[in-house]
Amino acid sequence: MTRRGFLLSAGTTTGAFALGAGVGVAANAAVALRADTAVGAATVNFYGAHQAGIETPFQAHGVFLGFDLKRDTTHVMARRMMELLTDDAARLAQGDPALPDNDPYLAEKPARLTATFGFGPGFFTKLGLSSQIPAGFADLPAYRIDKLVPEYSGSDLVISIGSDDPLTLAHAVRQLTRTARSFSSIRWSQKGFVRSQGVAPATQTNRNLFGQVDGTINPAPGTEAFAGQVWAEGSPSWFAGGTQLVLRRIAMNLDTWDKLDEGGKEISVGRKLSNGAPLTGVHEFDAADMEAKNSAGLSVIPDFAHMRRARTDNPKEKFLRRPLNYDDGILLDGTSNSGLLFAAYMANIQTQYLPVQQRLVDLDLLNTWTTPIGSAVYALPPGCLPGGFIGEGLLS
Amino acid sequence: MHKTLVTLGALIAGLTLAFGSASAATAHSELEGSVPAQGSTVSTVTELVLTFGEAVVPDYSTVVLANSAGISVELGAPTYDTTATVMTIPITSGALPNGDYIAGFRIVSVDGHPISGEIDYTVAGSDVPAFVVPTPSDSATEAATQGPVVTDGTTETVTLTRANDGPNVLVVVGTIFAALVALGLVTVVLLVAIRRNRAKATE
Repeated sequence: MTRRGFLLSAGTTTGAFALGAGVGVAANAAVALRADTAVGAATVNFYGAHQAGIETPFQAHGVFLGFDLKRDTTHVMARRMMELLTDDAARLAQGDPALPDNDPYLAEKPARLTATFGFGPGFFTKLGLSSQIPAGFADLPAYRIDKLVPEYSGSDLVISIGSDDPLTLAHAVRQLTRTARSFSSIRWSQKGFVRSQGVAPATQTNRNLFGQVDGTINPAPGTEAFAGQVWAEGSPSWFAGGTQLVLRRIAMNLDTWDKLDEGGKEISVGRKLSNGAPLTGVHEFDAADMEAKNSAGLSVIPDFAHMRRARTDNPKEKFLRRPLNYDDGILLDGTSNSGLLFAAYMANIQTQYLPVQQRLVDLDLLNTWTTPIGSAVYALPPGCLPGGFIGEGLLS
Repeated sequence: MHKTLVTLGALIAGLTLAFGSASAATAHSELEGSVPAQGSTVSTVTELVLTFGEAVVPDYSTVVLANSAGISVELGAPTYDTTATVMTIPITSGALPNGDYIAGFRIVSVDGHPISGEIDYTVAGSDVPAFVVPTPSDSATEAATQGPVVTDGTTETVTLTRANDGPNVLVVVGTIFAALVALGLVTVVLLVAIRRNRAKATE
C-alpha cells in the first residue's frame, strides 16, 4: 500500500472525528492506531478474591461454553481439569499462550480477556458433592413463558470468556475447549456482544437489540451494594466470595417489535427509548414515580411495564445483570435470529432471583416479544491466588 | 453475479412489501365505540362498554373512572364477549349520580400493541344522590383515612359521603364502618371509600 493509500484508508475510519476536531487526517490516523494498540494490550488480573469477568466492566465480545462431565469423571480428574483450565486462563489473560498452544501469536493481544468458571447442578451430583451445593442454588422452576431447548439449556460446567477483541476471544475459546474436552464434552456454545470499546463512554449503559437502554439500576462495581448483591458469604465455606449465575437465552422477535411505534415500545418497558429515563423522569438515573397518573387517571408507568414488574425496593431481591446481545444472522424467511444472553449474578438464586422472575412471568408486556429458549444455573467459585486453582475449596 | 442481483432485487421487493403491510397493520385495536359515547349526555350509567377493533388481552387491561372533581369511582372486573373485542366494566355502586365523568382505559391488543385513551361524558337526569366530599374536620373522614383502606400501595383513598341519603353506600370499608357504627359515631353520614386506582379490578 502506498503512503497515500494508507492515509486515505485510515482517514476513512476516523474521518468524522477528524473533521469535527479540525485536525489533520494523518495526525488522527496516528491517534487511532495508538488507541487500538491500547485496547489490545489491556489486561484484567486473573487472580484475586473473586473470579474475573463478573465485576469487570463489559468486554465487547463474550462466549459462554457449556460442558458435561464425561460419565466416569472422578473427583481427581475434575480437580486436574480445573487446575489445567486455571493455568490456561491465567496465561491467556496476560497475553501469554496456553501450554501447549499451536497458534501462540493469537494470544498476544488479550484485550481485557477474562475466563470465568462455574459448576452446574450436575457437577455436584456426578462427583458426589451434593452436600457442598451452595445455599439457594438449584435449577429454576419451569415457567409458563419458557420454550426451552436442550441445545441451550443446562450443563455441568460453564466457561464464560470475554474480550474486547473477537479474534483473541476465538483463540481463547479454542484453547480452553481443548483442555476441557479431555474431561468433558461440549454441550453448547453461545456467543454475544455489546458495543466495541471506544464507541461510547465506558460508563454508558448498554442497549439491547430492542434499542432499550438495559442495565440502568445495576450496582456499580467496587461498591458495597455490588458486594452485597453478588458475592456469597460462607455457606458452605468453600463458596465464600463466589457467586451464582442465571444464564437465560431470550429470543427477541425484532420483526414484531418493530411494528410498535415509539410510544408503544416505551410504555411496554416504562422507560424512554432515547436515554432510558423512566416515563415519569427526564434523565436515565431519575427515580421512577410509580404513583404518577396521567390526565385520564391511568398510571404513567403501567402495571404491565417491564420496569414496574422487575423493580423492587427490597435490597435482598436485587442482583447484577450482565447480559450480552446475540445475533445469529437472518433466517431463511427473512426474520431475525436475535436476542439476549441474559446473565445475572447474585449471592443466592432462590432469595434474590426467583421472586423477580416470577413477577415477570406473571405479568410483563415484554413477554409478547421475548421467549426464553435456553436456561442454566451455575455456582461460580471464588477466585484464587497464583499457585491455586478455581474451585480448589471444593475439589482439594 | 446475476443471481446475486436477482436475489438482492427479491430482497428489496420483499422488504418493500413488508413495510407496506406493516403500515397497513398499524391500525391495531383502536377504540371503535363506547357506551356512554365520547361527549354524550346520558341519564343512567351502571356500566361502561368499550368496543375495540381487534381482540384485547384481558391480563393487561386497565379502566379507571373519575368525576370532574377527581373522585374515583370503583369499577368491577371487566368481562369480555367471545371475540374479546367488547369489554364490559360494571360500576360497583350501580347507577352514577349527575356530573361530568372521565373514563380512562389502557388495553393491549393481541398483537401486543398498547392503546390508551379517555372517554368524557355527562350524566344528567339521574335520581342518584350526588357525591359529597366531606371536609377534613369531619370525624368520619379522619377515621376512614386512618383505616386500612389502601389496598396495593399504588392507590389513593378518597372518602365520600352522599347528601340526603340513608344507608346507601358506594364502597364500605367493612372493618372501619362496623367500628364506627358500633361506637355510635355515625348516624346519617356514611363512609364511602373509593379506590382511585382501578388496576385491581381489572385483573
